[in-house]
Amino acid sequence: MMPIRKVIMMFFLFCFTSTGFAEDAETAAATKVVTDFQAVILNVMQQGDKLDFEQRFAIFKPAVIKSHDLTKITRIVVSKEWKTLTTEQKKELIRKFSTLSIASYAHYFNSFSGQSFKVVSAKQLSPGQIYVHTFLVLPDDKDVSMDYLLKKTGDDWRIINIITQGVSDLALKRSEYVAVIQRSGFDALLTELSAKIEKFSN
Amino acid sequence: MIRQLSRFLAVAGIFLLVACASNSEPKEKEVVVINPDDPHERINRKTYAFNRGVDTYISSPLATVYQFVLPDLVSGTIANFFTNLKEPRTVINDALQGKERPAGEDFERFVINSLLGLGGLIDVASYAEIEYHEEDFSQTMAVWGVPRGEYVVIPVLGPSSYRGIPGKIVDAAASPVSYLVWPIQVLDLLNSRSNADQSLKFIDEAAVDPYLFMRASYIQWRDYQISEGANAETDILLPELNDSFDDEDLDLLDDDLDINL
Repeated sequence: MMPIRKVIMMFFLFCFTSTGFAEDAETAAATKVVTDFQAVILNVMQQGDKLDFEQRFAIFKPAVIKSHDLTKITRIVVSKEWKTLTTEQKKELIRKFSTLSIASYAHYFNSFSGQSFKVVSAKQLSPGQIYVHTFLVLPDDKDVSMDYLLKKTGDDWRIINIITQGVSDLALKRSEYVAVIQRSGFDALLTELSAKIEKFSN
Repeated sequence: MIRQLSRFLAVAGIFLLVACASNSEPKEKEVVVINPDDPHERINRKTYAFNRGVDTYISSPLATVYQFVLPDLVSGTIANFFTNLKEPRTVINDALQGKERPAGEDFERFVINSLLGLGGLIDVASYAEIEYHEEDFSQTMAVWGVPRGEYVVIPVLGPSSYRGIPGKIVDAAASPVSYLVWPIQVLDLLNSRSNADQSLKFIDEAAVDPYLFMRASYIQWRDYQISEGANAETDILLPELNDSFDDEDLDLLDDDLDINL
């Protein structure tokens, strides 16, 4: 008969290894979200001049909606101001912010000159939060660090923040958007976002 | 976008004359919330607006002429020359921070580029895959434990901090360019402004409030440089990340939000 101490040790070993396997699977799933989205970026860039802005927007739209948690990102970028908004205002802000996010990708990723992405590492920062460390490899320049923070929404991992060379997109937008709302009101922020969308689409 | 942002980050601390949108000045009777990193925001915004004016009417036109007159090959060679002249400063700061390997590499870069690269005009060291680093005295002070202090916008020079001001003075004293004839110093400024061009355009396009965009990105980018990237995983964990949605907000998740141009 197996000694009780051995049984307990095996039980804990089983628990730890299963946790490890589960964590690895989650990390792999989150990394795939990032690599799939980066593949879309490269695909659009490689098509370059063949696509106009509207066509790039149409390609990025499902990819961004699938890979980014736009609702949660929108709520975070306005911080405590979220609670001051009506349901209609929240909907309008999510719609406008999502459109701007997609338009930004469509505006900036419009040509290709040999860039590629490489994933360096991925790790769970806390349950439900995974950090994927990647580089954008530029043929004639130093690699650019591009890290992704993903959160689990339901069964899916979604990008919630992108950190380029240590600069957090979420923190950057939060500092701007909160200030605009506090200084000039919610409508002023919507006007600014609309102006950016207009600028990117021309 | 990434290349533009990267360039912006790379040059922000050197010669940042900001050319941005017109809404950087808070209007009268508006609520002004004091940011603990930037208690002098009102003055900083005025300096920022001044810098923007200098850039719009002086630096930007000069940079345009500079780019128009010089072929890319020549401007690239000039950029290499001034980058090489920064290497002694980098080596000194590597040493002051106790970074032995980078100090060796940066010294190697300087010797190779100065001797084999025609005085730094050709970046031979990069072909030899010797890594380039950027270190300055402000970073050294940070490593020594000197706190950043408050954010300041310096006339003409752009964003900095209380720690950054003595840093810039020491860096200027340690830079060989400071001891060269003035036309070369002017060329250095034109080169720096020209390199910053795309980044400044990026801010103009992407920022809702360019002043705040500049401040937030400058502070984060400097923290990233000082910590060698170690801050990235922790600083991004905003408190709001763990907030859960209220019941009424959950409905928003299910709505078709009709995202169209």
